[in-house]
Amino acid sequence: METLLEAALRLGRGETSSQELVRASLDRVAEREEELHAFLTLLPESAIEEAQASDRRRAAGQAMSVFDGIPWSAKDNLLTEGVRTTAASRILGDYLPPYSATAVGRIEAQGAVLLGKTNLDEFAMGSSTEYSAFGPSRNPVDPTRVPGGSSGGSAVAVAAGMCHFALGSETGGSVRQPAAFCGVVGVKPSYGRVSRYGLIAFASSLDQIGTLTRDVRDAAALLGVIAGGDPMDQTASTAPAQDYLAAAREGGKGLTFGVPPEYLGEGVAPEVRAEVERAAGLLERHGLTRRDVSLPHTPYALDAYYIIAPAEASSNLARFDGMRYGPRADAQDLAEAYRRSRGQGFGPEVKRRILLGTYVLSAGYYDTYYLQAQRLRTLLRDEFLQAFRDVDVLLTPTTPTTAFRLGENTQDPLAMYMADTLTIPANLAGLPAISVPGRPVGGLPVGLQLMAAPLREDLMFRVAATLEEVAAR
Amino acid sequence: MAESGLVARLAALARLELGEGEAERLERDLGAILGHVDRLKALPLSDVAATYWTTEARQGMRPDESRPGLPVADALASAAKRSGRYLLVPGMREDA
Amino acid sequence: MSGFETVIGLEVHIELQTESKMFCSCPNRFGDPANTNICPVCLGLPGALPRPNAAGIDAAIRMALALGCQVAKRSKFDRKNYFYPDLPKGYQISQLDEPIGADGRVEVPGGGTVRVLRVQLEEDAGKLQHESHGAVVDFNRAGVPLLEIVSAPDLRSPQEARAYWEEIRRIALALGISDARMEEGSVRADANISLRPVGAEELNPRVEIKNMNSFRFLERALAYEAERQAEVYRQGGRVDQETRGWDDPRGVTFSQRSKEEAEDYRYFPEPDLLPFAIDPSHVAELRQSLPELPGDRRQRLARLGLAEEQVRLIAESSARTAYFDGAMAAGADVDSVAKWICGDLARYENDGRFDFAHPAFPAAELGALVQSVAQGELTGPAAKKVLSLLAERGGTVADAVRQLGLGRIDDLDAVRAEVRAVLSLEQKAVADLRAGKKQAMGFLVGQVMRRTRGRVAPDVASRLIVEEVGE
Ligand SMILES: [Mg+2]
Ligand SMILES: [Zn+2]
Repeated sequence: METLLEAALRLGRGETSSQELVRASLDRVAEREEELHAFLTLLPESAIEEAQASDRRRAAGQAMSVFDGIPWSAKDNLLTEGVRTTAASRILGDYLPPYSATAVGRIEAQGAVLLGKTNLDEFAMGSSTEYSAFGPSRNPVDPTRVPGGSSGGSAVAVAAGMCHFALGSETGGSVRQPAAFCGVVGVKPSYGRVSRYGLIAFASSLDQIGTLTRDVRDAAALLGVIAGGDPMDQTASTAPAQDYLAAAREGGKGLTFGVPPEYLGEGVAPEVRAEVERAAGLLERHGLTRRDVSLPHTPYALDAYYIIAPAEASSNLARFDGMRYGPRADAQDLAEAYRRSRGQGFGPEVKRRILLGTYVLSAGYYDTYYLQAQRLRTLLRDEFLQAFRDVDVLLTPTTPTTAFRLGENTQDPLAMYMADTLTIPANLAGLPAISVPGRPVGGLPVGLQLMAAPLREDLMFRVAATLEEVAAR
Repeated sequence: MAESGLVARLAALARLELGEGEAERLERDLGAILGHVDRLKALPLSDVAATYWTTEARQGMRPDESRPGLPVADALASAAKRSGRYLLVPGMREDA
Repeated sequence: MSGFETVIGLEVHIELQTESKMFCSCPNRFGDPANTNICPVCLGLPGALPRPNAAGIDAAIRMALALGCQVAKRSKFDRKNYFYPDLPKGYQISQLDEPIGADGRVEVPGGGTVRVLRVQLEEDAGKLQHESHGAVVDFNRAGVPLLEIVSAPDLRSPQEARAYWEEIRRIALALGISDARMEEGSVRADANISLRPVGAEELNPRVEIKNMNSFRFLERALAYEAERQAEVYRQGGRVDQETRGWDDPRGVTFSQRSKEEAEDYRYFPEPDLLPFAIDPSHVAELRQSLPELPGDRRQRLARLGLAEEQVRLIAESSARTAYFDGAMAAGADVDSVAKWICGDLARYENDGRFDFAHPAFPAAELGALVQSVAQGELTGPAAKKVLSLLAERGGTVADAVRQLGLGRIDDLDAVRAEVRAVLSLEQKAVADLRAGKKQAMGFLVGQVMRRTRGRVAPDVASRLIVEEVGE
């Protein structure tokens, strides 16, 4: 399938037009959307109008960038001014945001054409997109299986050829895990690399906007557009973005990598483990050096995550109360209006996490749970930083298994949470991480994950480019 | 854990109405999750500092300059009920 | 309350007067139409993030310094979680364990030293008004920077609590960080009160009275509550820890929320805002910029030999003290300046005819007026008239004297002529004076004054009366 940079090249040469790209995307949507349910909102009319405008700009020699005219999609927890944004929840109703997320605005300023808003687990809480209030998405490779989540819709749209790239969001693996399940490239930047302004918050200290693309170079180019400081987000890093595309072009030759054994242990399917070992061997053969590293606190990361993320979520989701926006339930008084609007507006997984988060922050439990989890985070981060003195990147599987079947884990929250065990550590430590497709196992995509030190996306892209080149073959 | 009435207490704090059978199911789920997390509780970490933020560079403070806000019609466009320029909310019971 | 000691602690909230709100760029302005100054951030719209206002932090540091607090080297914000329709995000951004200032003290005028436990910065909530069909919310105030100043339970009477609160307000005004308008709710207080047997060390369960916005309410509510608790103990009962409200028309406190019903605020560090370092050199600069504080003003004025009441009145506001200093700088004498300020000018101010902060005539003219009187160029009564005209129209003393035709009559013969005229009209008083009735002299001098519109010095008049009557 054509990458974003390939399409840009054809546009630049006059071999295609934005209208042609958008119509091809819409054709693809018409073919597969009913089955896959990648989108919550489609914008065919405005997309065609924008494509026409883009073609006119290009004809006048005034293309805004290489992205000008290329169709893309945004996860529906990213605010788009005047375009319905739901976070896949009933509690927002048909919410029309009065402003756009900074990352969305930056892509629009490049001239790219927004095709629609993609499906997700409600408020990005889930690993399969089955917790969407508007029905699940399905994996384009095998529609009996989940696409992963929570950015499932974005991964499906890119994997199924419905658009050239998409934005997703991560809190514990929500970009990388669906990328791995659907066979596309998913990037979670360092915490603070991309402004969170306009991303509907799940867990503020973990959330980060990420990219879903068809290859590593597209991801590098796209991150270059959305990265950088933002006066609207105090946690956004003011460090200048590197030239990621140049890094991806350079490749990983001469760099070092490690394969921490903690990421290949119990719960990781043997064929996934074998694929990582194969990839490690290939990297060595292509000029990278392997060194031993160990990250002993890894097994506790999931526990810390399921304390910190729900805690922050319980507070972040307090604003959804049916007062200033969203539907308000009929009630006799204020207390009942709160309880009912929230009780009817949130789905079961969101309620589960709100209650869990409320518990770990409540009087008498804060130290035992929340504080303890944040302390573990220190050990985890220090351990990573120590490892990155020895190696440039870490190579691990993205997920313990390939895509599971719809309904397989919905009755067992713990089993569902296990899908994120290998992606969560990067969120807790604030590291950049990428999932690159390996060689499929049993016909299903496998993701290879690379992690680098904070703000060292350059190293991550260098190795990722090489990995992509050698591993999928 | 599974102290009785815990879910009811948390639901009250979080202003969540729970449906038929929902409380029991959540009680079970929470028990399972917290049971898993108990491994972490046992780690001796009292000497370790907490990491609440992982970002390095920073935006710093905002200079004290004002800009006009949103028009009220836009700002409260999605509100369930309004009364003129005001947001209208249900009243409180006397004893609440 | 014999046998009991009253133990009171106060949490004072002061809205800061900044250009923009604490965490967004909306104007921080009172009195605009409802929901004019709102944006995604202060309205808690999805996806919005807070951005701290540097001026709010500086104001908090200045207040902390003024209260003699230690200013933190590192501080942070925390979330305080609770649901209320005037709180858009479902949490208030506040400070829990790393406030900007801690460990200060305040000298309460007419009271003791009160320890200040902490000075913290937070955001105000919107304004909720109850109506018959529900309640309406105005979010203009939501996100306005708010200082919370928490005292130790060092206050020993409702009067002292009020005096402490008034002093905190005066300090905020002196710093210029707040307009501190009571009627606009810019200054509010929560009070904790408990009683214990005189001599006891440990504290009994306390009652909290929340959200008082008037000094008088506070004093009355605390007085009522102290008496109520004393009565409970006298009856052998137990005071419950609870929140009580103040019903001013009925003059009673009433139970609002028990200890068991207290909110669990689930504080945790605000992940959207980074902890911040406070540079000691910046603190030193702010310390340099502190104005003279009310306590220092009072000490300085007292050293000048002013009466206690005069000190209190003049030191009440920076504007009055500045005016006093301005008049003194013009070379006038302390006692006279103080008398004029605490007398006529204070009365004018009360009547709304004069404003020390924006005076109709400069302080130097008050100095000139005092000197004119001292040098005998103006009589006391004439000076009063001059002052009145200055307050009304501004200008200089010299112009006013000319305009009123009040230059003193220095020609002794002319004065004697006026005295004779009075004596011939007031035969009865003259007779009384001759008969040794001292009051008659006052009356006659008054008549001379009246006749000359105060242009004669009273001592000269009385000397001439003696001469004339004696002859
Ligand atoms: Mg407070
Ligand atoms: Zn605002």
